[in-house]
Amino acid sequence: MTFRIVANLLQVLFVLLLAPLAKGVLNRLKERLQSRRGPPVLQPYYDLWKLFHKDEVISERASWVFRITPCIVFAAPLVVTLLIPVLTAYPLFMAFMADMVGAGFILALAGFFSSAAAIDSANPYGAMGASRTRMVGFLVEPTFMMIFFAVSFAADSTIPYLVQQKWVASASAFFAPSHLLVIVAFVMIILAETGKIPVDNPSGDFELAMIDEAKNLEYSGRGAALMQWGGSMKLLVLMCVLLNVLVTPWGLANGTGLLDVVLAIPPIALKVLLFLVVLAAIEASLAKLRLFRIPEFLGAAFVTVFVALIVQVFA
Amino acid sequence: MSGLLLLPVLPIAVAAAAALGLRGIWVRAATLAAALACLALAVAAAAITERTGKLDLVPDWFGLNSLGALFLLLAAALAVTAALFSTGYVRHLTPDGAAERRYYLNFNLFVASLLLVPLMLEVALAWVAVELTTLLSIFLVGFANTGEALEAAWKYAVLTIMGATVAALGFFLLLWGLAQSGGGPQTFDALVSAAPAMPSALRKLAFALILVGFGTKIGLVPVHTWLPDAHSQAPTPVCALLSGIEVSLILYVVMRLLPVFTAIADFPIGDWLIVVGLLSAGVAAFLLLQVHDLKRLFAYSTVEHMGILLTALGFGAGAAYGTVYHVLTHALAKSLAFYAAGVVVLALGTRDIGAVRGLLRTNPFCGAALLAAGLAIAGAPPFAVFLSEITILRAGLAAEQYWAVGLLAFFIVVAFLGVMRHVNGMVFGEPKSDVRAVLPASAVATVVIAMVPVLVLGISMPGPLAHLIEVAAAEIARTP
Amino acid sequence: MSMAVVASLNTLFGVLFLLATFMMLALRQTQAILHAYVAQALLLVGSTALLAVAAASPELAIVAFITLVAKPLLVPALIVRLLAPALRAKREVQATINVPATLALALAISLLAYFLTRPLVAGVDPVVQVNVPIGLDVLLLGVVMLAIRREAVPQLMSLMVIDNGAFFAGIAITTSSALVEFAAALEGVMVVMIVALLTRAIARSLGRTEVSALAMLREGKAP
Repeated sequence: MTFRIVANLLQVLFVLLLAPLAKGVLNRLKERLQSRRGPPVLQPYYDLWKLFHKDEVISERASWVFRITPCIVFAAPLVVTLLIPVLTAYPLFMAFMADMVGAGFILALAGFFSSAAAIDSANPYGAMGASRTRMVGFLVEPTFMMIFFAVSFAADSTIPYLVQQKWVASASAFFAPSHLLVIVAFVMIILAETGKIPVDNPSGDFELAMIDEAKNLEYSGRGAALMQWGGSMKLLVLMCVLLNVLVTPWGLANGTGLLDVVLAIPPIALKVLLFLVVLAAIEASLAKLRLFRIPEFLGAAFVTVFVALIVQVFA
Repeated sequence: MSGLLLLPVLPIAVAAAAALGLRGIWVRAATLAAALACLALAVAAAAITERTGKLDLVPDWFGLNSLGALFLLLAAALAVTAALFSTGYVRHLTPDGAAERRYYLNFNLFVASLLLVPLMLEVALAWVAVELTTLLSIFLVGFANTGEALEAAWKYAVLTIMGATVAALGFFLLLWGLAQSGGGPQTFDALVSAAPAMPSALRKLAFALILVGFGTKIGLVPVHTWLPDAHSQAPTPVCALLSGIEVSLILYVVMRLLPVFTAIADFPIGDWLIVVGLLSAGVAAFLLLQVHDLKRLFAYSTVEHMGILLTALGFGAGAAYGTVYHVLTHALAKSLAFYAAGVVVLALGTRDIGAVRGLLRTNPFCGAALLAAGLAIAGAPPFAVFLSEITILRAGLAAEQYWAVGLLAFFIVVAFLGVMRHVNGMVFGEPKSDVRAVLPASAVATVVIAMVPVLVLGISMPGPLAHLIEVAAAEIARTP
Repeated sequence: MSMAVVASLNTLFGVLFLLATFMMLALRQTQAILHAYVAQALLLVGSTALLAVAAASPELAIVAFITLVAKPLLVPALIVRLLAPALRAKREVQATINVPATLALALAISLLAYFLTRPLVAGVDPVVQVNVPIGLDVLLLGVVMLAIRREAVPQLMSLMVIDNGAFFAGIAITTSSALVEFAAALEGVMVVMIVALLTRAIARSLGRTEVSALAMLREGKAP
């Protein structure tokens, strides 16, 4: 009993503590790929520390939505962590609380609140960013749903642990075309949902061009720290879903001892690092799409997963 | 009769000579000589197949059956008239010697590819030969190098190559079916005999692909849009070859494959062919009414006649004789029509129908030629096309396809009225201009030579020819 | 190599082949479309090579080699060489319907292709089960591409896509007649040469290669 609580706690701490590191590594890799030096890998930690020690300034027009949103944005990915395999290949005791659709809803809840808060603050850039984020989100949702359908067709379930056991068990299942197409589509979704190039420029500071970052404009001090941390945790959680559930269960702990779970941390971190390299390469080699081209990009993701579904059903 | 292998070689040799520098009177004479030699060989081959039914050169690869022999004969005959017309026409088209050599290079290669198609017994090679006829005529269509000619060449190239590739998949499927049901040499005959053993879903899909693919190359509605452009912008002898025999050769391949697709359960292929054919004939007949360009008029007439032929194929075995007969008469009459149009354009310098009046008075030869050619292609007695159309209609009545026959007759009448309205407008009335140009002797000779069979066959058919048509028709009407 | 591994790898190639076709429909830059075409051609070669190994057929191996030389290498080289000005002139591809609508149409066509070939490939060799539907699908997608693209070079690429699709289905089902494949592979190169030369002539005499705007030949106009 204690073991399961500790294992769950370890998972949550893994996501909580390593999310800023993931963000730092990604930024550094991106800069390195462009022949620049880039910030130190631990920079996000320093930023969080700095922000937590600053005063918060909140607009007079803001309501309780504005104040509560950082907490929700911070908490949502942590809740989702309980549902997905991060370190262990077997389900932990909260795992059946919700399936992948539920996890999607929880992340969407955080997104909804951050959009609402952006409008709430009466900052015009915030409202603009909120409406753009909604546009991207609205186009991403059908693809998410199709991915879940494709996955449930293949694995007869949408609980992440069961999907991972049934789907990626054998090499032939791994190379199944629908599997690969779902992976491609999911990577495109990650790029869209977390505001990476080609959908949005995360390191840009030109407000008129912001999509995702605009929602963070009004926050300062603790609120900003929580929003940033929550954003990087969302990226890490989506990466864990991709890597541990969809790609391969390699590295996840199979044994039920505490040592097994702790020993699973390095391989999982390595997987995340490899994916970050891929992500950095994608970001460094593409240009940001113009706003009206984003539906094309997401349409391509939709088509990819639809083809996966067709291939699944007919072949 | 291995001399038949010379058939494609002769024009290729002339083409090579033209590429290497043969020019002027020599290249024209060589082209004509090669075409005449091919005609002699084709007549000999036709005589043999009329007696024996088939002629194998290299078993399972090259050979002729009676249907192929008839088409080969037509191709060679049209090649002769086209070569004759070219001798005077090309000099008028372009005085540049290098351009003339390029024309003859392309022309001879094109003729060689036309002669190759009926000789192929292997299905895959037949497809290659059909594709070659298109590829080698693209630059001929765009020869005039004007914006319009290049536009026509582009549409021609893109649409027909697309059609050929779509049909290629149909061929692959048929070959697969053949392999599944026993294998053997991949000839037309082998396909026909293996047809009942092939799964019907495969045959249906293959039929759809081949009909759409080769239908594009034949000019069936709605993928006919390239045909009026390409068959009017090309130089006149090339138009005659394209409209007269090239589209018919593609129809030949379809005809040879047709027995594979008959007798599929709950798939009335006859009805499908009738619908597609009537659509083409009808749309072409009505589009004919509003053309302004003389050569486009005859090009639309080609679409209409292809529709008639497809409808005739749909009428079944009873109309097989009519179909083959109509291919013969159409080839002869259509080439005559284009030659007549060619002399009109040579004399007056314009293709615009509205700009020409009273041709019979300004240039009696042109007027008479155009009038006769118009009557011939529209299907008036005593020309041969009338007889073949009547044969087809009667066969349709015998097959109890009353609606189809009625519609077909209606479309033929509409096309007749359209063609005659335009031609009469040009030939009769007060002359608008007083131009009397000198026509090259070869052009005049070609028109006269082309007129002869069209007249003669309308009155009486020589016995051996009739017998050849009968034997050829039996090939189509074969059931597996 | 066991049949199961061959079948899985072939399925992988097939799906990537289909994906490359979708990319050609969705991408807007001519150069990117050319790259997607090269990827598609390489996947075709890969599938041919796999089938050659699986059937231990030297003819198919020769076909794979010819396809390798012709499609991913010669064809793009010819296009770049002969049509360099046309490629540089219009970076972006114009189409008559926008990309999301194109993709929706492409989806409908994929469904159609699968439905049409379902009765054909029931209970056959798994390689054929993958290649025939995807081949027909890519062929139909090529026809769509031909209909909606306005420029000469993308239209030429659509012809090549139709060719690739027909081939992809063909290699799986005509293992005993490599003659067909030889002929068609070489024909592809001839087609590209001829159409490229024609495009050059058009560009030279008309000054542009937007072929869908060529509408000089019409009924209402006098010649």
